[in-house]
Amino acid sequence: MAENSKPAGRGGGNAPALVVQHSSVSFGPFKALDGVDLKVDTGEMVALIGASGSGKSTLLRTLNGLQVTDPGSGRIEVFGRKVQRDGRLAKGLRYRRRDIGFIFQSFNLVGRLSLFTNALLGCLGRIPSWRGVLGAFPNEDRAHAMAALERVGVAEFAGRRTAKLSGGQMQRAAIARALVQRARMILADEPIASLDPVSARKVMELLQELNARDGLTVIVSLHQVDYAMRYCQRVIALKAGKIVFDGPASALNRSRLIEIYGDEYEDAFWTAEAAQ
Amino acid sequence: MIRTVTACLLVLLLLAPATLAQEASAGRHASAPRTEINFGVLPTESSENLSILWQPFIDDMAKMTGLKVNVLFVADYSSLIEAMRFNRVQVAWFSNKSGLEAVRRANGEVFAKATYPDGAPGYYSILLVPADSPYHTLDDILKCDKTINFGMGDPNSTSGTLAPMAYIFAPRGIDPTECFRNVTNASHEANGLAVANHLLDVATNNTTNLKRLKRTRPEVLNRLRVLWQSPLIQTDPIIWRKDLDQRTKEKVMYFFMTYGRRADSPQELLRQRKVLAELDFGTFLPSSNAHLDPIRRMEIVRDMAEVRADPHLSEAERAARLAALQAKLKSLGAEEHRIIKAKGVDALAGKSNRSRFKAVPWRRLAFTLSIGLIAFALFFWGSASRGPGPKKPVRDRIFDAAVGAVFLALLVWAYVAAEIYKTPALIHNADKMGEYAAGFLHMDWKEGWLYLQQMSVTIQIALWGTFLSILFAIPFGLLSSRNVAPAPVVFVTRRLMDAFRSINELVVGTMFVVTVGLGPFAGVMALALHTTGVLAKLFSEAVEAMDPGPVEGVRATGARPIHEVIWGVIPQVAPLWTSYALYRFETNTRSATILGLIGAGGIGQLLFEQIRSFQYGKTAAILVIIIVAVTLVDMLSQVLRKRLM
Repeated sequence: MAENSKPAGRGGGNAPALVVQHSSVSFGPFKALDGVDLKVDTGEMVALIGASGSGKSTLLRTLNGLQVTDPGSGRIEVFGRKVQRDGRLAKGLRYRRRDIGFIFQSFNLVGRLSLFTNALLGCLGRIPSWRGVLGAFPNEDRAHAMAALERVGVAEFAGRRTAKLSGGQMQRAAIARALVQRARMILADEPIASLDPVSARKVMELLQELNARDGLTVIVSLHQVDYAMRYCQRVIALKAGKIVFDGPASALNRSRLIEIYGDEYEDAFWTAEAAQ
Repeated sequence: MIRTVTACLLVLLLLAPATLAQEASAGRHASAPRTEINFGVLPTESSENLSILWQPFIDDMAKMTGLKVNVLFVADYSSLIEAMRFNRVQVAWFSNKSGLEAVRRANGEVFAKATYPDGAPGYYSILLVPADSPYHTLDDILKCDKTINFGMGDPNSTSGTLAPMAYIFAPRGIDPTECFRNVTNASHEANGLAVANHLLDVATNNTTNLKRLKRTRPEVLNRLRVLWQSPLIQTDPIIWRKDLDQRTKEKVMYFFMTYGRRADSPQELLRQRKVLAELDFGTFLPSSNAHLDPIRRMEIVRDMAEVRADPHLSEAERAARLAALQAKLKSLGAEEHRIIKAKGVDALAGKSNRSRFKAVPWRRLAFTLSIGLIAFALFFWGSASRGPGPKKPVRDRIFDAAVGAVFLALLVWAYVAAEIYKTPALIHNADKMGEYAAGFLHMDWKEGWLYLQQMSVTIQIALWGTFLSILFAIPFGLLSSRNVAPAPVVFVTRRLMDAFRSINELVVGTMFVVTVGLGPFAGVMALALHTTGVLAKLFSEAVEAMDPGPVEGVRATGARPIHEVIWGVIPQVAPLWTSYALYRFETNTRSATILGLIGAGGIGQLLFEQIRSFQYGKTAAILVIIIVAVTLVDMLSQVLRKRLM
């Protein structure tokens, strides 16, 4: 299944953006990830598809160490540096995490803080600890946070309490947080699953723009295949914790998708099928 | 805002240990000649009365000794003993029994004794019965048919407990807890009132208290009759700390021996005599630890009787112990100053409980068990699924029925211990309650301003107690949250918090009284410790119920764990934490009132003093102030809490 397509990687560097070797994650008897091998080059935009419970979220969470792999299994490196190995997180993990912006399905912003503060929290990994403790953020980062909110189009709500905003606005703020982080890679875990269609499109366009204009490596898990085919060059499909497809979006066809999704096929595909 | 508060908290956390250390060292001074002494006074009347009565005497003492004299009014016997033990008090007026304890454990030494204004050398312990009681002699009440409710005094009281034990019960080999239906411990005042109202059949008291009752509430006295009077009990000893420096001792001794005896003019002498008379003193006589010998003798007599009556001793053991006690009795006369390391009086207080444990109430246990089983069967039968619809699994039914049955069985089991069977007395004696309450109707607002001041002291105690507890509860609360701290840390912290929480404020308060002295600060510390335990638990529950998402969001940016807590955890739980803290502030305002009982200052101390001295009019006024203040605090915090949620 490992037909690694390599679109022209921009600013490739010497190490690939992401290397996953034989990684497994089990929850009790249930294998969420089962010996996954994966390589992503810098500047790629990759969609991760698969039925519910196929291991998309688990895979993304292992990439920045939010989820630990099973003991004795696998190795994960980001930009040539270790994130975890043999079920143990790397020592300087938090320095790795600075490079990886993570977008969650449920936004994971702090609801009682302002949108601005939430975006600003992106710089916590880079500034001295005491500044982070006392909230004495440098002016440079404040300006950066404002600019990031501007860029994702929610600057006018900067002073508002996050919990009072809409899902689309929150998700864009979460992306702003990743920008303030100065992340080189963005992992997005079903970023549009709880958004309305318009907001969903805006968020996907934003991710695409970050990939195209800023050269960020983007890995985005999606439930809807049509979005994956529309916005990403490369698609990776998971089924029962294993990679069952890895190739250009154009290579996906009806029979492949039935194979990937099984019973959920119609649910995930009808719009894409209509498009075809 | 949160940041500023966090910064302040950090600074305060750093400062707190330093301040505490300073406070602790302030109390210790070597035996260089003193320029200042603390004089302790026993609780007999309300301390505002006491301070008016004692002030001229204290002023004279200061003038004639050239020392600065601070007077301390203590809420109960044990506090005074502890205060002397920790050198918070250097010279004090004790009762005989408490004096003996002060000599034993507080490094005290008797150097003088008081006489009564009429020159009488002592007072008498008495047994009181209602005026219309059928009992007329000791034999009437010592039939031991378990029909009599007997009121004993404070376990440390000479006339309330020790003298009756030594002169009545011990020589006859009678254990009061087995002889009477019920034996309770209370103050002389409470005992007197209880007998007058037929709530007790017999109670101990003393002639001094009777005189006072005659002054304050003669109508109560008319409803009482003295059934028995003890041999003379010596007047009260004046005790100093043995390690007081010689110069100071001489000054104090000179003062006590000349006061009211020798003065520059007859007018001055008369004035001094008057000051003493106000205090119910004649003059002072020199004395030594031998003053306490009769008390020691009482203790030994009592111990001997206990040994004789103890069914668990072998004959040989009994004889050996009796011989030892006999020897002690002899040595009393020989070496007057020797302090007997006899069994403490605490044993007496503990005795009643121990003897109650002896008999395992098998019948009650069996009854409880059978009730539980019957209830279980009924619940199980009742929860069976009947008719259409899904069937409830048998395992669930068994569990539900067991919970119900255990609850019911516990209620049955607790019925006797909680004396629920006394409920009819509530209706029976409602008129007495009314009579008691009638005393509250004539509110006495003469000292209203003082009450307001003391109420504000109480609120200030609650404020600081709550604030300190919040400071400590934040780290402890986080450390006892499973989703923040590792499991072993959570376990240890939680057990520590359980301990903080389960120890009553009064106990903690007494502990702090010996370290920081009597007064509001001890109250603050007591509240702080107890509330830390409560708030840490509430805080950790809030943390455990929070959404893990935002914390993960912060973690994913590469932040440190401390940042996760500050930016991910605290903003989420802040409203709930604030609400809990405000709620505890309300609770602490009430608790701070109770702390007056151990001399922690504030309105509570005034309240208990008024109750002890039958000043119901003033008690009522204080209660009104407390109710109004607590209500105001309550309303205020509710408004704040509503806005936060």
